[in-house]
Amino acid sequence: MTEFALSTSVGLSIVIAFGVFWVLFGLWLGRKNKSHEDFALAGRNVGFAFAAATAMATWVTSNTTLVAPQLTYQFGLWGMVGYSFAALGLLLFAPMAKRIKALLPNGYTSGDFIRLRYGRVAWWIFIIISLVYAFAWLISLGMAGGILLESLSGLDYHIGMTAILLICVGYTLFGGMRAVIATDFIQALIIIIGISVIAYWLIDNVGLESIHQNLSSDHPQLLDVLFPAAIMFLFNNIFFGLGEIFHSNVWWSRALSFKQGVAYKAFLTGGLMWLPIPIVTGFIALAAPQLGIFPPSADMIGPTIAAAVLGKAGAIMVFIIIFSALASSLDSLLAATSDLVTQDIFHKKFKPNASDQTLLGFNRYCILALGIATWLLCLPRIATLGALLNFAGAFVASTIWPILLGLYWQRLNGRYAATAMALGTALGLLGYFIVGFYVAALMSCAVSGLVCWLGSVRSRSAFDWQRLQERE
Amino acid sequence: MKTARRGVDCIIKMLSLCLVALSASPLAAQQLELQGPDKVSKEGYFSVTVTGTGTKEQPPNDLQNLRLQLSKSSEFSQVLQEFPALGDFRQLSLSGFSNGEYFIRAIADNVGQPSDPIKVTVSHYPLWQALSLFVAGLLLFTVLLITLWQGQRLTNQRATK
Repeated sequence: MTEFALSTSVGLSIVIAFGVFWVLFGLWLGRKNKSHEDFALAGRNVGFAFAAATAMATWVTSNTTLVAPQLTYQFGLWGMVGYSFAALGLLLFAPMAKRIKALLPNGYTSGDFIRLRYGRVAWWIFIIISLVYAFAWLISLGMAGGILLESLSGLDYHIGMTAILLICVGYTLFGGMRAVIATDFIQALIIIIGISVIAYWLIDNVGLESIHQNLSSDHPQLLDVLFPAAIMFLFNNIFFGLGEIFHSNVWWSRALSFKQGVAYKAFLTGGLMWLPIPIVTGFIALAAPQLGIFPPSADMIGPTIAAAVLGKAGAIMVFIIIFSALASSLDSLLAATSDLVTQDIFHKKFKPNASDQTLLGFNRYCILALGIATWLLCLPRIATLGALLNFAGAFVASTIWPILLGLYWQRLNGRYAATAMALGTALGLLGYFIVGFYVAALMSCAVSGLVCWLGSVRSRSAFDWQRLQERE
Repeated sequence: MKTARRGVDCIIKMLSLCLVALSASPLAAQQLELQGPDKVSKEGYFSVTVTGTGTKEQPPNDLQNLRLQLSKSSEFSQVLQEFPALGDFRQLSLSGFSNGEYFIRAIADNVGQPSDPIKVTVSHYPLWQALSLFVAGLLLFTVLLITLWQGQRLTNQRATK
């Protein structure tokens, strides 16, 4: 029989203890929510410490804790170094967040910006892209919860996945953005301290030299700086990360909820704090051959190794860290996507006169519905986490140029922005299926950029920034 | 006389064989089978699944010390590496292979025979193709950085005016 690092009962007990704590914490924080703006944007009053922590913690997700080790296991050194370049998304978003706050002081979502800046057609395409991405990310997070519990305690994938979804839906439902940001702060502390301890423990127990020796003799490709597939993956991953952050309401809602003057510093600090984390989590995977660990699925490598090296106490620690990482992203995504649906679709499209309380109620139903939909989509374990996320790369990378140019340049109009997103996504997907996942985001961004450049050159009119100042 | 004795010997041997066969555990009768990638691996990683009695639905139970052996020859004259399976899992994800043809077979302490070997071919993407994408990505990223920097600079200039 399998010797798992934790017994099933210990795994379940941690989940239940954490679940009860986070949900009660969410309930306690939720008492302060008096209006929809309180619920969705924490009263637009988040200070620097919480802002930087939420930026960092939200970006530490299944990507960093499970996919970074997976890609290191598959692509070697470039896997972890390349993955850390995803910090560029946060770093480059810093000046953009400042601009967003200045242009849309009363804005709610990224969808608001696209609708006001580019019009309805572009907005519809953007909403489809956002929802595809949100579901891909939500599913990957739900799956990651199941994989985590399965690899550490042998608990059935479906039970683990259901547990993490229940907990995150629970506290987001009660506490809204305030709970999301407050829990992110605590989760960020747990992640930073925990990962540092694991890295130290691994180096101390296994040793850098023995890992290097084993890789050099038995898996030389993992140390090869000219590893072709890894080189191809590098910039694709950067554009994927940029697309994720530039377009997603997860980041826009944060930019809008931070106090005036905080957004720039918070995203910059969050990005710099995030940068070393994939290197540390990825490094763990390089020890796999030396330890004789060959997981059934590459995305299980991180927690499996950490548990093998650190024993039961370490396994509990790994469990808590990854659980925190998943929760910090899952709650943010639930909150941001439900804001997008409530504000952009329900409010703007169907109920323009809806009262504040109606919007608040709908937002909560939306979180619940998103949780249920994610659970249903997670039931069949459709792909590995990496494959699932990279599929979304073709969608999100097409929004990079329309967002960037839309924020700073007045020349690009809605027709070209819509074409750029649609054509970029279509050709990115074509690349994904015909060539491989390493070209999906790159191709999508390149095509979208070309169309945007054409649009900017050909356009005769200039957008009036005042049109972004929408009144309720 | 000799012929009769040979006949008795033969019967005893056959009976002994039957007894050995009957007393053996069911696992000894099981066969390991391997399923590997059905196309060339261009990334140097792939998954291999151990199945028993021919189907994925009926995997062999209680395999002791299940592991994969890797060799460059189908006869396994030299085993280059061994990859132990994790716990009860029957699938192994392997990575870090250079270009070449590899033969892999499964082996377990309580199953008499190793599986038939499978052949896995690793052929990485050509370096020129990878570097072309790298350069294209670098150019695109540089243009993006310049655009953002320029946009931010103009915005700051407008704000100070």
